[in-house]
Amino acid sequence: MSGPVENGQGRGGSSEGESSLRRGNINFDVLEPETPADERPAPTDRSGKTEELPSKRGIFDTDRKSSAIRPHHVLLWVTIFSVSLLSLVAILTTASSVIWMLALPVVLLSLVWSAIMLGLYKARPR
Amino acid sequence: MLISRKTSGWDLNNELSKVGVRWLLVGAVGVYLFYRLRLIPANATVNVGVAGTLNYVYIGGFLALTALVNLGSHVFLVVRKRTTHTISRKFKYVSMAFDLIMVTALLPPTGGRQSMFFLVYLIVIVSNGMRYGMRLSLIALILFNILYVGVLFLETYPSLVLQDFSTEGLKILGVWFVGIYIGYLARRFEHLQNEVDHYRKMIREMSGGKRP
Repeated sequence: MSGPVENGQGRGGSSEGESSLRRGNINFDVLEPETPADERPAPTDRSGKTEELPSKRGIFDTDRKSSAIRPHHVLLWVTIFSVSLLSLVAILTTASSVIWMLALPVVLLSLVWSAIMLGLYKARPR
Repeated sequence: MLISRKTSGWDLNNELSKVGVRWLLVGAVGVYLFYRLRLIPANATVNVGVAGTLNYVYIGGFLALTALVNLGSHVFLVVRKRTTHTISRKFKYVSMAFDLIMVTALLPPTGGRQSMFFLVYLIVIVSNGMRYGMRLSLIALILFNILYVGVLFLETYPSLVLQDFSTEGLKILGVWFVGIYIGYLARRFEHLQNEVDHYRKMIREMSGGKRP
């Protein structure tokens, strides 16, 4: 991850040195990138666990191009979250066959993933 | 300088400590299980867990297999520690899967879904999650879910109907919650560790007069 002094692309011209430290050290720049993906150098190490972290996403960097979050993305996450939660409650309260237990990993993973995405979206810097 | 897991032998040291814990558990569980077997009168019908599993053949085979694999793992890791000082990144996935399978094999003769050894799942998931992070936590949780359903399947075959389905579901949910939280803590710790390492490097370079 580029250090605070180097992070000259902090949002709104705020203290660049602090942009990577906001909100529990989670870098939210992935949600609202300020520079087009084409202008940023593509990282060479997909794991991100190298000595030099070339982009401002640091260890969370991937080779995918970033894009702003659209309203339909949020709607999709809310839908997945709701459906997963309802499915979980339905399975726990109405199912009796052991086979339904195999649906729990799918339901729980989608619930956790959608909750994380919604949490990140809600906690994004404004 | 950021710590590279491969060059520092991080995984290797973790796996060696897990081998030690496994030896301890094999010894403790083995003593307990053979003690339980001696308490059963001859020709008695055992109605605990899955029928036909609480006997010397099953228990002996289970302990022998665990000890054999652990011994092989121990020898392999010691040799690697003295030679290359690293192991493949896939090794931790294999060892975690083996641990979960062994815990699963321990449940049928000790009460099935009522076995007290269900808690050992948590030990395996928490220890692997803390060492290796969220990804391994999630894989461990999925594997645990599938294996535990296998135990329930054996207990309820052929009807496959669970009278206390919601109780078992909540047990699984509880383990998922713990595993995900541990994975989150591990990920946060790793992120903070990288931040600290980066700042150390930056300070070192700045104190030397060089800009990062």
